[in-house]
Amino acid sequence: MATASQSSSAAVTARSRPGNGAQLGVLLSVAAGVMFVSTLIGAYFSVRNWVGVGSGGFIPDGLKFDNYAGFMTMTSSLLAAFAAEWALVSARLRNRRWAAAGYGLCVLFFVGALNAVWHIGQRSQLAVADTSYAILFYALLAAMVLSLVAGVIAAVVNMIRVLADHVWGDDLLLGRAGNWVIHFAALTATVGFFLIYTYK
Amino acid sequence: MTLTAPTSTSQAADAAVFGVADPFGAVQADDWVASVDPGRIGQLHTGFLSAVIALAGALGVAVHGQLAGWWTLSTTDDRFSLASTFALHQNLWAVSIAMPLWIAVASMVVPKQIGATRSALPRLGSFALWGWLVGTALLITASLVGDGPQLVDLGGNLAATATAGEAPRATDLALAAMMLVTLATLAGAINLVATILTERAPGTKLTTMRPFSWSVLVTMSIAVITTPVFMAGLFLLYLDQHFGGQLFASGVGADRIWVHAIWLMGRPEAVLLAIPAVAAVADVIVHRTGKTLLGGGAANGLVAGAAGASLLTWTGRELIATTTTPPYARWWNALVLVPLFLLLLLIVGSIRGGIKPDVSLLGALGIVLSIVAGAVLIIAIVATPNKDISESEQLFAQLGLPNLVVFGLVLLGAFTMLAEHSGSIYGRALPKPLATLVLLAVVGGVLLTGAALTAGVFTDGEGPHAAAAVGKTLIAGAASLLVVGLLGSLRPNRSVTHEEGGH
Repeated sequence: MATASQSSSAAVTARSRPGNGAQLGVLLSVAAGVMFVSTLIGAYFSVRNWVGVGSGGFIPDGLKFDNYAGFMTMTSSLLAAFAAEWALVSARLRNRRWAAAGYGLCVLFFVGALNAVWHIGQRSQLAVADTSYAILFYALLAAMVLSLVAGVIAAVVNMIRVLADHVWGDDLLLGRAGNWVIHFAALTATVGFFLIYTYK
Repeated sequence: MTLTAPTSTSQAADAAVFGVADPFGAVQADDWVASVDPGRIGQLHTGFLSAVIALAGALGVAVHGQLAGWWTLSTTDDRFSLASTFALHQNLWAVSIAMPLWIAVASMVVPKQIGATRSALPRLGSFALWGWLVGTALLITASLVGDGPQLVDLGGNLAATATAGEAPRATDLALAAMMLVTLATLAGAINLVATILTERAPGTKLTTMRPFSWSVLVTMSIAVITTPVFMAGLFLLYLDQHFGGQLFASGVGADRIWVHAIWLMGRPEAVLLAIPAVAAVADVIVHRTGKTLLGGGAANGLVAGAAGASLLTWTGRELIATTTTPPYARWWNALVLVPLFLLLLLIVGSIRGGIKPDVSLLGALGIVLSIVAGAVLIIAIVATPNKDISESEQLFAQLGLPNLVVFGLVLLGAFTMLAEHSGSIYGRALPKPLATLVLLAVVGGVLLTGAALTAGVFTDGEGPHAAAAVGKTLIAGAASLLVVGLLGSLRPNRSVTHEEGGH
């Protein structure tokens, strides 16, 4: 009996740790998310180049964006990503208080970014059906909202895992996976900002 | 095969009331609905999928029957018009059947081949089934509650069928349903890749895996990065149709975004889906001869090469804005066939000594014939790029290859794997006469439909449509028979685990 149990446990060890599958699953999901956002960006450029760049072409006449909200979205998201890394380093150093505080800050920064994206949508004065640009613009905003919400969820889950010692010391596998989602959210918000406000 | 222990609470309660532990037979609904066992999920998935294949086949018969002059579909009710029926037929095949069928079959067969005791992400695997089921049910429902023009046709007719202005709610529902199905497909693909990479039994190397498992790994890996592209296209289409935009109806979105970046039929999946079918042939031959394939790991290398070449067909999309033939019908797209043909040569070379006859060899033969016929079709279309092609002929050109090489090979490959492995998956093999009938019907149906649609590119008249209607009748009949066979093969209350051996 003991022999069977030992060999079974050895087989499980040789196969892989359970966290490996979850980490790989998150990595693949993030890759899928990157492709989703990339397609929207590709569609944006494709239509922009087809219709023609310039006033009255792709972007409707007289449309002006307040740069402040967009910049705040990007900055908040990047700060959230830094806070998440700080939290993970704290977890590795077995400092529970700073790790939890890091993920708490991450959530707050992401909520701030979500608020800014909402503000951009509210103040844009674009009806979705008006132009091709409006559809692509709102699709990008929706992708930003979705990724930021995913980032908030990942940060909350990581915070709970830190508090429950699931992400702790040398066992950071699941925490690293959660941080990938957070970085993806920050990347999406940053790319969205540059596309809408800088390149147009 | 291990027997599942009785579920204590419910069966104790049943024993108290009925005097027996399990008055309704050994099957417990909870065992199936809440199961995360890849075998059980796959069994449910293939059963539901067979029913949907039968429905999609029947819709195809209705369409080709009208085009052959046999009957006329409704001209007053948009829900049952020719265009609506064709759109539902095409959308079901492309979104709800092709990739999900591989996922369903792979989720049963692959864990056995790699010695996995569980899925890496069991809840994601479960979502692949239930998300697909709800999405497909909503897609079919959308076609019945239509309150305006026909559903959007995701094929080459998108610009013509996209509504200018606010689309009917049925269109919204259909697009949301397809997004859900695509998300479920993505979940299934991620689960399979993670399972193969992290749950292999000790000693099972990636390079020496059975060709089918290897083909699932490369196919699903590429699906993980290409399925979101299609989902993003659906998302844009949803925004456009729901809010009444002009992006797709004006042709800009349809031409620039859909056809040349996301086009459903031109997705890498279009050729990617054929790869596991060829690997299934290798699998059957290895199993039936009891010998390894010639060339060692070369077969797996060729499978990876075909998958890589399928990405080329995608990247080549932007360069073909003016072609009258479908985007995949260019010479470099045919490159994907080279590794597949080399793999077929390896397989043929591996048939040495005796081969244990089985009905699954019939399916393997059908797959080989379909690939050869598909190659002939590609060469015929590519050889006549400047042909003055009529609208009807263009429709045939768009339909022939997907029917033969894409959906045909998926059907043939999946049904062949089911016939080969049904005994170990379901607890009881499909009865030989039934399995023979199913495979004969599906091989005949696929080849007849493909040949008919190919003939339609070069000849006018109703004949090709009549032949295609007969072909699709055979496919629908095969799927219906398979539903009956699978139900009969279920051995209740037996959990399917790798412990029953595999191969």
